[in-house]
Amino acid sequence: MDELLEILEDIKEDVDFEHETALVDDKLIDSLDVLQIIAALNEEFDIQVPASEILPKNFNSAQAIYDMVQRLQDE
Amino acid sequence: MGTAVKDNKQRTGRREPVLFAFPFAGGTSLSYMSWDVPGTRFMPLEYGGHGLRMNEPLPSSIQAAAEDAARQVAKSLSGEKFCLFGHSMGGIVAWHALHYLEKEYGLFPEKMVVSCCDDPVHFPGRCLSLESDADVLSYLKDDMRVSKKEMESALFQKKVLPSILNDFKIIREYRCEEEGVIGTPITAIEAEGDRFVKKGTVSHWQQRTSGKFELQSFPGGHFYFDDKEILGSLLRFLEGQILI
Repeated sequence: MDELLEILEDIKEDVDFEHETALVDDKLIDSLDVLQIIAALNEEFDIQVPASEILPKNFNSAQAIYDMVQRLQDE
Repeated sequence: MGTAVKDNKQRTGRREPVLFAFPFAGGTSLSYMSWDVPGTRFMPLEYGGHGLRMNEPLPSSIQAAAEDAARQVAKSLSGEKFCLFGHSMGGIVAWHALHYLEKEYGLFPEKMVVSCCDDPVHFPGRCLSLESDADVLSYLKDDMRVSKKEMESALFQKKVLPSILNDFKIIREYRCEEEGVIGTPITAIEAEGDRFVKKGTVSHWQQRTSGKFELQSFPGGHFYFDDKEILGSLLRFLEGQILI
């Protein structure tokens, strides 16, 4: 989780990724940020995020992103 | 990779009408990730070299983007009714995709909804016809609110910026080759405060269909749906358009 938080903060430093739970819904991150997050997850965790996972609920919090990474790594 | 599919087959059933969304210049399928039109299978498309297809070649023209999009649409359908929605540049790509769908695949949409987009004869008009790459960079900074840090990031420079610059290049190079009239009904949306598409000009689309034409206005600027409340109104409006 710490590694993920570091990645997220590097992409958007002015967002409190540790506590925010509506990152997409409240427009704290936009589609460009999500794209950067997907690219970083691909590089750092060696996972491909499929189109079917591109849902606001999977990007609304660091925990949700972490859960998605875990799920994709287990597949 | 094909479309960025929100796979709701299991949740909502295979036979629901499908609404394909064509991204605007500088946009990707992810631009529509928060959109959900009840009662439909909502499928944002992805142009080559953009978003989830960032490692693929970029389209060389609006028509090439349309041909590729038509292929994605045709592959995604298995007999369902479908509609096309395109915002700004996406409206023109949708127009050409519609022609490919009819000619190459024998597929006819129920309706085409174009948003903040001049018709093919008048496009691009002022519709984001930014004259140079420098204009595009200013647009990204001032209108799209892309921060300096984001613009300087390696991913943005290597993978995102080329696709954005290419979008505006193919807009600048676009010449209308399909002045014809289609039978598909067209709904044109305008935003009251759009500084790129002059109020009233979207009604030119009326001349492009022999079917029903409808004009709808929303408050706000070129990206009127950035406002959460207006997006809700738009999605309800689209639901009414699709479920006919």
